[in-house]
Amino acid sequence: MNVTCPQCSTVFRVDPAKVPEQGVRARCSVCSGLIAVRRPPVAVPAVAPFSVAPSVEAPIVRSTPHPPPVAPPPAPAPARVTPEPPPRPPEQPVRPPAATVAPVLPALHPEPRAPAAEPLGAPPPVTPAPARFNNPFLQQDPSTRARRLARALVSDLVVYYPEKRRRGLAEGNLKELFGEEIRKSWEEYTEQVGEEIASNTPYFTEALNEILAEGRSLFG
Amino acid sequence: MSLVNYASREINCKIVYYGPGLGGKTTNLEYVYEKVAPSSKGKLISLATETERTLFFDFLPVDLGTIRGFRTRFHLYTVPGQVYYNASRKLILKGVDGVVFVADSQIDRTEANLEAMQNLYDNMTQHGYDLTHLPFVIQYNKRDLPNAAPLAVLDAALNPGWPVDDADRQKVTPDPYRPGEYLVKEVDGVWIERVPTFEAIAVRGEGVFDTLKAVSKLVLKSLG
Repeated sequence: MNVTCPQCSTVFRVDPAKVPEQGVRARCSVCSGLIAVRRPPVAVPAVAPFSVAPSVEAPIVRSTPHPPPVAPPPAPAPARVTPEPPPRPPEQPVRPPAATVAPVLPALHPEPRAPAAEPLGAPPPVTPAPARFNNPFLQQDPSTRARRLARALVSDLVVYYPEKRRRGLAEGNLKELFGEEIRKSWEEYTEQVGEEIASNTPYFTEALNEILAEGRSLFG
Repeated sequence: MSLVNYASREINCKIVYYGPGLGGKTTNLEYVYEKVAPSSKGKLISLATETERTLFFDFLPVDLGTIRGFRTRFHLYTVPGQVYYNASRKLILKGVDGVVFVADSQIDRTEANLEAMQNLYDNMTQHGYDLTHLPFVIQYNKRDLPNAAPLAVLDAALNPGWPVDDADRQKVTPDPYRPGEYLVKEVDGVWIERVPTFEAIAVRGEGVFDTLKAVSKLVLKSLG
């Protein structure tokens, strides 16, 4: 089944059989957003030609021209078989809860909207289905990078000034207390992503509200 | 890149500890410094400038054997991890021979890890270096913390690997540090290489020398 990241719209291929009945939350490896993955209503035959052991098997790569062979490797097949296209999954426009994150989030790996089945990691299932090997650090769209940079900058404020943040949250003066740090972070952000993206996207403000202000809309 | 000093008959190699802020880079270096014999190390230097409060510039030479009569001296550096100190990070990367990426295993630092890794790739590229052909290892630090992400998740996010185009290197290469794992293997017709990874609890020194030895070995190998 396909799962779409509600924030960056990246589509992932997920083996429905690996999704627990109650669903699971995963983290998008492209934009780090949360994705609520639900089991499709109809029972789907577990197609996991590449079932990766719940071990350390990292996201695996697949080249488009060579679709994965079918599970129990039969005799030397002349051609490789592409897994049955799984039934169309329900859309997943689920907004990730801003607050807490389950302790074990599966990193959802980006994947091109090309067909290919994917193996699921252990605890939380999910895996990508790259069309051609893809190292996300070697190529990324500017929006994804900007969003990640904003979140990392703000995440730094949280770990470097835990006490000040606690006080700001308790006393309601977070904005004032962090004025200088936010300004410096914004400058760095603008310098790296460019004025246009910085000013025309909500990433920085979102990161402040979600991460620094614990989900409250204090910045805007 | 390594500098050869004929007068002292030394090859100087630069290893940079990179990674997100408060991830344990300095802790790694301090531990190494503490354990290295006084006779073989220089001064541990840390610099803090007015504008860059956390700028850390550690310097630590350690002697490790000889190559063709030349001793090898390793210079270990950390970079300031906080995202907005990029100018310093970039500067320190100049002339690097090997990189240790110290990741913070805590789930809350996922974005910071990813951003730091992206920043490493970007800065290396801007210097004209190719990270995929340079001695490079990853350390997953803080493994003792309750909110540490599973290794598989960290690996998937931070060590995705890259295609190996050189036919000579397209051979199955077991990971000497993680039994059952591979540094180079073919996946669906594509040869993929990943870098060695190490678990660590740097505050207790666990995994610190394993990481350093691995990167040093790679650097020595790269010197031929």
